[in-house]
Amino acid sequence: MEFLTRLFRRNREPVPNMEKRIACFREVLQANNAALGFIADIQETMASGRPLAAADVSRMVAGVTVQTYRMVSNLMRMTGDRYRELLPRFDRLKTKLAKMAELTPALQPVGFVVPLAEVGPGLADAVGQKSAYLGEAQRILPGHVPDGFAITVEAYRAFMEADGLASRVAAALDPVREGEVASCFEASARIMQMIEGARVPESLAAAIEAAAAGLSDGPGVRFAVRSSALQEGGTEMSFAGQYRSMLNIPPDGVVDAYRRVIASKYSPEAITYRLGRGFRDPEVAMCCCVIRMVEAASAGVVYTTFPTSSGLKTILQAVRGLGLAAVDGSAEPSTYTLDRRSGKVLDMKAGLQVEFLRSAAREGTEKIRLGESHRRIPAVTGEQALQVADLGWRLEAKLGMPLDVEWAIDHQGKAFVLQVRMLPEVANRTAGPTRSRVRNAPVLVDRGVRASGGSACGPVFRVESDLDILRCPEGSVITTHEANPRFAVLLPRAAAIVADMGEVTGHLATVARELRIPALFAARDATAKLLPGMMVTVDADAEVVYAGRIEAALDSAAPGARDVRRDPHRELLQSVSALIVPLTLRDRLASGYSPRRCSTLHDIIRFCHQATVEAMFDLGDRALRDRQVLRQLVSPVPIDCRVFDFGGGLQPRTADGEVTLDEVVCRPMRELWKGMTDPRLRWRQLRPVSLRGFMSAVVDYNFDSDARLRRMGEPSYAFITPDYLNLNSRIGYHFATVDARICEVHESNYASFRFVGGSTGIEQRSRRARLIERLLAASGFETDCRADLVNARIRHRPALEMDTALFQVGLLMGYVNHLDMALVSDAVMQVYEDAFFAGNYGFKGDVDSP
Amino acid sequence: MADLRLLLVDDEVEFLEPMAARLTRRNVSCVTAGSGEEALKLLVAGHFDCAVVDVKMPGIDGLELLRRMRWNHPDVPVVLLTGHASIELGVQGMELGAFDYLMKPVDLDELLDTVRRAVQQPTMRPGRDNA
Repeated sequence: MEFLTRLFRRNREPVPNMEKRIACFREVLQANNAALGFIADIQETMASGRPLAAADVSRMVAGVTVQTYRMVSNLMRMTGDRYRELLPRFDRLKTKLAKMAELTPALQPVGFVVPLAEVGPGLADAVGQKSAYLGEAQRILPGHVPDGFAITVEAYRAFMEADGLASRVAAALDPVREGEVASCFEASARIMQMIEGARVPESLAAAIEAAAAGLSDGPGVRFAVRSSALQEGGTEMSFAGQYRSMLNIPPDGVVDAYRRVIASKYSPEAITYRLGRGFRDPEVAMCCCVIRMVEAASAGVVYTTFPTSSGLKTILQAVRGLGLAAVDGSAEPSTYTLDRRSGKVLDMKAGLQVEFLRSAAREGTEKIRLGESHRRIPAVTGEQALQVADLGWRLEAKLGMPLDVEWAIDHQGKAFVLQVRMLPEVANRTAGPTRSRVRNAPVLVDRGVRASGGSACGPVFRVESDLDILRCPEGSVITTHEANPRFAVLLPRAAAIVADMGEVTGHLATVARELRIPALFAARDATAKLLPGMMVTVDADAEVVYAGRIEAALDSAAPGARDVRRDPHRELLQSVSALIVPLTLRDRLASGYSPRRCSTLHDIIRFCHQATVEAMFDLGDRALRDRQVLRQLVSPVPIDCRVFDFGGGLQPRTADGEVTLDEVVCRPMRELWKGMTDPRLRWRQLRPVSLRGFMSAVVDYNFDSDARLRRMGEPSYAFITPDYLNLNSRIGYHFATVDARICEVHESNYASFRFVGGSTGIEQRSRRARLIERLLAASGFETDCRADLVNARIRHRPALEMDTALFQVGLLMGYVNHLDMALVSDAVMQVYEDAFFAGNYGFKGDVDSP
Repeated sequence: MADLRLLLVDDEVEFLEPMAARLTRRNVSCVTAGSGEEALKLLVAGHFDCAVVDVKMPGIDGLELLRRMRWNHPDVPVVLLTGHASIELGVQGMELGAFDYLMKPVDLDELLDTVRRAVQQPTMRPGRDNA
């Protein structure tokens, strides 16, 4: 196609504006092929069920939209204002699609930072729920929430947009697929490095520094910089706690800490979590909450309403020192059960803490080992537990929902609230085993609590390090000592997880529940009993692990994560495809074919294609015939072919409107037609050819069922020169394009073949496409097959080889004509493939004798 | 002797250099620019058949470069190349006169096909329409 223009310049009698028109025509056809390629991708993706990345959706949707626009704009260039109505049609669809596919929610313009005192639930969309609730908590519990400020979504976007960071991150994330741990680690490392090394825009850095300086009352002030991740629509994910919190940060370190918290959005476990839950990366914005550091003597979490075996109670967990150890699974916290109504401690279970965390001298934290005698002493007194629980109850009463509250008690004994989150999921659970054990089944582990329900069977794999994570085979029962949130990255591939330590309230448990992976935590010495390679059955519902495969425990296993999780990429593709894929445009010959009737991109694509071909013949049928450039090819095959000669493609002759193959000079056309008319082929339907009604008939194609009604044999068009062919052909219910050049300079030679459609359902049409793909691949073509669309090309071959290739394409076009009807199974397809290779081109199998 | 002289503009060196090397092996002469600003300087200094421009760049981004090129270098066609597909930016680019909008990772043959068609596109070259 590319040298059409140049060739046309040599034409003996230049047609006014024709060069420009041909260039546009060429671009429309090119864009048409590209756009239909994207549509085929969308169809195939929807049918396949393979995991989808956000970038896949934007690539397909942006691709088809831009290519449709190319068609529209080139049609405009060719025809002036004639189809002006198409533009608003296109714009409307484009705007809708962009809104749906790019999901850039309107921002509340609040600036880069907002003081916590001014933040409330109304600003959750701008600052994340964590900051929003903490701001509200400050008002509910005056003096019990440290001063601070929120860094907003606006700040996050400014940071990510600076220096193209967002697009570099998107590119690095692109190859990551769910369950591919190595690629996830690689992308994570790259992105975190990118972000930690990225420039914070000056205005943003200045705003953060000013806010931090405003809270400083002396040289010793330190801050905690916490994540407040926010999903599209303001909903915070329960995963939010997995992101990094930077503790004990001096005022001049806040900007750097901010960057590091943002980077933690791309930890391997966070990436895995989003993939597993089906969140699109751009949907999740990372806000931060910066508060004055509380130097904690003890800290932990309180669940204001939590199901226990004796009803809904308040659960408080406490560790010595900073609270991180309470949620990261590294310590077994002391646990208090409290009753809200009576305001009493019902139960206290001392934990086991080997080391505690405290602020280091200048910045950051350090771990201090506890003496043997201190390890089992409860981290708080009953009175302190009640004091903290009371803060939680007051918050719950005002906010009206069960809460997960992180708290600390400083060295002066004052209680603080550091973080507040909703607790809907856990509140709906019941505590204790929900299923009895299987009698006589060999029990390996009988201690532990159900952190996530269900049962599963698999070989044991012990995980303690990142290297273990990389090595862990799919379907393993993971055993680990600490319920480290880092192992969340493995959960989508795990059958179940068993940890010696860990709490049902910890992050790993939360993720396991969301992914519906059975998890048994606090199983004490499980790692010593479950040896690597052992086949075991974990029944988290019965809080037990059996040796071997115990069917009775597996029969009511929880559904896998894949069955229950939301797949918003697929949902998105589904909804945008309704504006892209369907072809609603009626036949040109029927009424109502106009730009105003175009309601999908596919309609516009089809309309443009048709209108462009017509525009090529704008001079009118007679004028073209008078100029001796348009002929009807007389041929025994059922293709009504019109030949448009750009000059030299046909032998000079007197005008009578018809031409035979002998009079065709165009080399690729001759070879193709020789293949198509090979006497060994048996074409199914022959129809008389005629030039009548040329202007009302149109080049058309179909790959949808409504077109089945259309009659056979609408005209095909061949655009030719001595060495060039562009054939847009419609045979029956499919559409084929051949674009080829054969000359003596073999670097310039190429042939591309494209075939789409058919009269049967998508399955049989796709089978035919695969058959074509195989047959052409065997002839040396590069091929690509998606749904019922096949693209094949061959290039840079000597002219004689190109002749053979074009002959093969012609032969194939005849062979596969109507064949989709016969291809009821892959076995039948194989029979036809074998017949073709055996040279039995007349083979009709059972098609003719059903 | 190279048959095409191409200006490759992208702020990502890890993309730019290997792409230039691959194109050079295909007998295309490549000059690289790491930013829109650098590209504008190179355009003043030398002749190019076509520019392949990344959309997202710090400073003068791909669309701004395209806008300025349509004004100052209307005879150099622009093919946009992006790592971050966007409907709005894609269509905006086409409206500004880009020849095509391709998405990374791009097939080298596809890129070259597009560049060659862009170079031959008469409508992109005012004054040569009816040559």
